Order: sequence, then structure tokens, then C-alpha cells
Amino acid sequence: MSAAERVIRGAAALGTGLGLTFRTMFRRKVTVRYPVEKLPTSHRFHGLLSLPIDPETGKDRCIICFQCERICPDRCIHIEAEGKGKERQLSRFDIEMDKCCYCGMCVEVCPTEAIVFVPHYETSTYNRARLLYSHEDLTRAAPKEPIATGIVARRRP
Amino acid sequence: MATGLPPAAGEARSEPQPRRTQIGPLAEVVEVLDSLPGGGLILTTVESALNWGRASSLWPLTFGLACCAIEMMAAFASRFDLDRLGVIPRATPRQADLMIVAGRCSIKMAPIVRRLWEQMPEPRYVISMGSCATCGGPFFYDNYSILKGVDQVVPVDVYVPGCPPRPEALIEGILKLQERIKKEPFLRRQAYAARDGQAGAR
Amino acid sequence: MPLRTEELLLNMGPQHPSTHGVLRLVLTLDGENITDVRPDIGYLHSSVEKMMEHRTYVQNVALTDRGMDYLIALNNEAAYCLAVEALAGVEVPERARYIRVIFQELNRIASHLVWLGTWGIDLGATTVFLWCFRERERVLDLFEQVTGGRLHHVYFRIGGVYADVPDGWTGACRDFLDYFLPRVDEYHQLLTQNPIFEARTRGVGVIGRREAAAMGASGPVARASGIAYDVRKAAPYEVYDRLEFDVPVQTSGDCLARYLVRLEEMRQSVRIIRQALKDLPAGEVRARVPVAMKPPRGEVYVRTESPRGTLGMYVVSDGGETPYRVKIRAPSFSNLYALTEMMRGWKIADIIAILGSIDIVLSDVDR
Repeated sequence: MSAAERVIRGAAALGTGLGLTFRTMFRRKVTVRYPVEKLPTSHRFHGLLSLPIDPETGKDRCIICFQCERICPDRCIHIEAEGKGKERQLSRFDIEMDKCCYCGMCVEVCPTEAIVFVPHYETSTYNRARLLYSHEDLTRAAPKEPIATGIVARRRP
Repeated sequence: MATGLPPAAGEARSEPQPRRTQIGPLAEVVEVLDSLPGGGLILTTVESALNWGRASSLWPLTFGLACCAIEMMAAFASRFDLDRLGVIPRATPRQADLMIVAGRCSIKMAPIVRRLWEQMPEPRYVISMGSCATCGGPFFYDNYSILKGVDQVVPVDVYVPGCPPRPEALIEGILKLQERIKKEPFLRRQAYAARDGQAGAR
Repeated sequence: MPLRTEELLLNMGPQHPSTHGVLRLVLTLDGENITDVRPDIGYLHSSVEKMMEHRTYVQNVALTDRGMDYLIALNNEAAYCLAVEALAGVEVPERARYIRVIFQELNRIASHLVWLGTWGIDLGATTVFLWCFRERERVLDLFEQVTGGRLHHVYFRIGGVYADVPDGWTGACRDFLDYFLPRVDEYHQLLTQNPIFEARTRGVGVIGRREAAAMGASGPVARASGIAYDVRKAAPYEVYDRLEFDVPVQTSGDCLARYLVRLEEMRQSVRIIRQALKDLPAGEVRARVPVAMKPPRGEVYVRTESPRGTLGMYVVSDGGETPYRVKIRAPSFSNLYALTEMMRGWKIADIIAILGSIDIVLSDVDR
């Protein structure tokens, strides 16, 4: 290939590339100005885990079956219970959110939909100890309005 | 010479010289200003102006370890565009003042992370991104090779949980760090550290 | 006086921004020419194979996402689930198999887009990086609507998938495919004829057919050298035998050939997804599998075609709740073998182009 030919080919290639770049300038912008405007998350988004309060009873729906604790691949859920029979009560329900891998297996196995994902992801802290979510933190993380039951059930086969 | 031995009798004991940082001479100015009536106000104003500049141009080190690095790249790319916040990735630790530890850090990698942190100029900040960097995450149990939290080798300022965190979560972590930087008594700390012969802030 | 020359040992990595992870290369240089390359791996070793022996079969799906190649979480899950299903004799519903194919191919597109973007940055084409991630975000949006995760999904389960796709998702997926196919042509237009890009890739890092086969290379690296081998064609899994697609093959074996193969693979993936969406049958998406499943004693080796090459999964069961042994045949590891052969004799400036072109993920190499 002669020098002149190469120059012409190079210029033509540069022209096509730059022409494409300039055409793209007039397309719709894709940048989201995050802290000001936020993208909606899907309703299946794996955000923070929470224990929503049942509006009828005023308590969470946990029946202390330990299934989530057993299935958790990271072993980051810790449940302790007191009493026997009907008097059985949660004395501890902690989730180490720093160890959690947001896989959703606890949500899947829960028979009463006591533990659910909420689409909330802005949880960075200055202190790692604050990522240990106790029962109060988990109920506070749940949205104020009652979560419609059946969202999780429909996802199951 | 064996440094661990006590000095022999008669040998001059060398006093440790205070380390001169770049703003070492400022120490006296800050001290005088601080003692004057109304001087604290001037100092705080200058400080907040400086802190505003520092917080608005956090330059992170381009350095990813594992999965979270992909989300970090996504945060730098077109949709989230971290350049809007003045966060521009630098390829060398000498020009960086923020280190985003993105991903799990193995025991083999830990000394290198530490050395990179030591190569960064002060004041420097560290964001631990994701479960693995924060405490080992999914690799906490039954594992022999992953460090259980990167804060064992470098001091961490902000922890961003998530596996991996969304780019928005990382941006939120950076905003949290900016808030903290804006509240720092930057001048006083640097000046007094220079006076007391310590190595700068932190 | 005769000049005496010495070989220079140069250390590159492990935190070098263009090593695509934490890879350390020990280069032996003669002037500016590379005489030998020794990759030093293990900086991201996460002992995932050992961890899998301590977790139940169901829990291990979450580990395959993170411990193995993190860019292709769904392909890893598919390989693991196929292996355990073969071991336990689980029949997967038809609809779930189609959904799995759709998601594996979408993940292939996402993975190739990350590769093209980062390789573009290595070669000085920042625009490609921004454009590739623009398209990739749309793929991740599609993922998020179904799986709930952007990078790590835990969507495939032993015996099917977690949940059916929501209403209207197939339409959104078709819209994306219509949007995406012209974008591949744009990358082609932007890069392939660019004289700078061509000078850095054409004829660089050549590996011949025989060498590639001897080094155990697979996937696009092997196909760029003229080996027309694709597990999806050679030993079809899921429903790949019912779908029509071509296996792109180039013969020159250089960086440009590997790039062209991957571009064409993205187009073929679009073709596969379109057919799978059209044929998507109705019905169940998950077979009944107990949470504490205990496959019978035995061993199984399953191979799949991941975006980097042949991904093999070898699972041994001793009849217990946890696998006795899991061994992963990582495609990146074998492709890294071919790196020394590719780099020998090239200049130091070509390292970045060659290393980027084989598309390794260090999490896959070290596991």
C-alpha cells in the first residue's frame, strides 16, 4: 500500500469514527444525576433485609422455625428463642449485614414471609459495628406501609 | 550497626528530629491565629474553604480486586459518571487520595494493598466496598485464603455494604466521605501534627 | 570494545490497572523485546472449591457466583446446577431450560461488553468503554427485573430457576435486542477500520492452531486460531440443540481475530435469544427438589460454553448433604497458559493489547 493510499484510508476511517461520535452527541443522555434523581429499583431488587410488622397483630410474622438461619450460606443470621409451646418468643434476631451476600435464600425458605427484601441500598456507615442489625433495626428498616403479602409467594414455584 | 542495642556510654544520643511536612512553617501561624480573639473564626473559614476543595476533588486509585471492581467501573462509566462529583480515577497512588478497596482481599494481596496505601500522600482515605472487603463476607467461614476484612491492614473510613453494592451505593459512600472531610479540622490537625513531630494527619 | 547486553527482569502488576484484575507478570526483556513471560497467579485465591465441601448443594449456588468468574455469574450457576442435576437425576421443566438459555446468552453479551470496554481503554479508545457500559447497564436492568441482582443473581436453582420472568419482561428483552444489534455495528465502525487500532492488533500476538490446541486454549481464543469447537454445538446442553446459530471462526489467530470473533458472538447471542423468546413454552419453571437434597454416590463432569471457553464442573458425591469434592475447570486458567506463547518476541508495548485480548478474569484463574 502506498503512502498516499494509507493517508486516504486513515482519513476516511477517522472521518467515519468521528462522524459517529458527533451523531451520538444528539442522542438522549443516559447519565443519571444520582443524588438528585434516583432510578427506580425493580420490585424484586435485593436490597436490605427487614422484618415487616404485621398490622393486624402489631408484631413480626416470625414463627421461629430457624429455616433462614439454617439455609444462609454465609451463616450471618442469628436467632435465639425463649419459652416453650405457645409462649415461645424471639429473644434475638440479628443479621450481620456486612457478612450478608444478598442471595435471597432466607427470603425464599421463609414460610410466613417474615423476612423480606426492601429496595433500600444506601446503608454505608463510618463504623462496621453498626452493620450488625438487631431486631429493632430490622423492623425499622421495613417500610411504614404494610407490605402486601403474596409478593414473595408468587415468586415461588 | 545493630539498632536494637542501647547506645554505648559516651556515644551521643541523637534526638528524633521533628519531621518537616510541607506546611510545617504554617504551624506557628495557626497557633498564633488560634490564640487571637476572632482568629478562630478566620481559621475555621479558611479551613472550610480548603475542605470544600478537598472534598470536591477526591481522586481515587484505579485499582480493583474482584467483583466490586466491575460495579466501581460501572460507577465511573456513562450512566452514573462519578466525574460529576470530581472523582477522577488516577492510575498511580502518588496522585491519589482515596483508595476504594473493591472486592475480597486475599492474604497474598494484603501486603500489596498496605504498600499502595503507604505510597499515597496524606491525607488519605479508604472506602471498603462490599461485604468481602468489609469483613470477608461470604468467604468468612471455612476459608483459609481471604482476609477477614481489609481493615486489618489499612484504616477504613467508610464501609459500603452490599454484594456487590450498586453504583449508587458506592456514590452514596463517597458522599458520606465528603461530609466527613468537610467537617475535619484539617489545618489545625496538620499544623499541630507538624509541630509535635508526628507524621501529618492520621 | 564490544557492547555487553543483559536481560532485564521487569515486574508488572499485581495492581497494574490494565492487568484486568490482580495478575502479576514477570517479564524477561531483551531491550524492548519480550523473551519470556511468567504469570504469577494466586492473588485472588478464594478457596471456593474447599468452601463448597462445607456447604450444602443448595447453598453452593450462592458461592458459584462469587468464587468463580464474577462477570458470568449465571453461566457458572448453570454449570453447577447442570452437574448436580445430572448427579441427582433431576428433570428440569422445559420452560426453565429456555429461560436458562436466554439468561446465559444475555450474560455472554454483558461479559463481552465489559471485555470490549476495558480493552478499548487499554488501547486508548475511551469512547468504546463508555458506550459498552451504556449498553451493559440495560442488560443489567433486564437482569434486575427478574433476578433482583445486578452482578450476582442466585437465580438458577437445582431443578430450574428461582421464579418465572415477570409480565412484560419478554417485550422489554426484545426491545433491548432491537436496540443492541445496531450498536454492535457501531463498535465495528468505530474500531475495526481505525488505523491506530489496526496497527496495534493486526498480526499481534499470533498463536497458531496447533499451539492453541496444545496449550488447552478454548472459547474465542481457540476459535480465533481456527479451531471450530464450541461445546454448545459439540455436546449440546440445555436446549442449544434446538436453536440455530453459527460458531464464528477466524484463522489468523491474532488480537484482531479474537476481537472479531467476540463481536460476532454477540450477534449470534442476539440470534439465539430471539429464537428462545419465540419458542418459550408455558409451564412450570422449577422441579420439586428438597432443600436438604442428598444425591446418590457418584461423580459427574459437566462442560458448558462460558464466554471465555469451556467451563467444566466436576462434582463428587458421597451420599451426604455436602459435595465430597468440587473441581472447576476454569477457561481463563487454560487460556492464560497460551499467554507466554503469544507474547514471546513482541515488544513491551504490545503486552497490554495481547493480555487484554485473551479476556481473563483473575477470579476464574485463581478460584
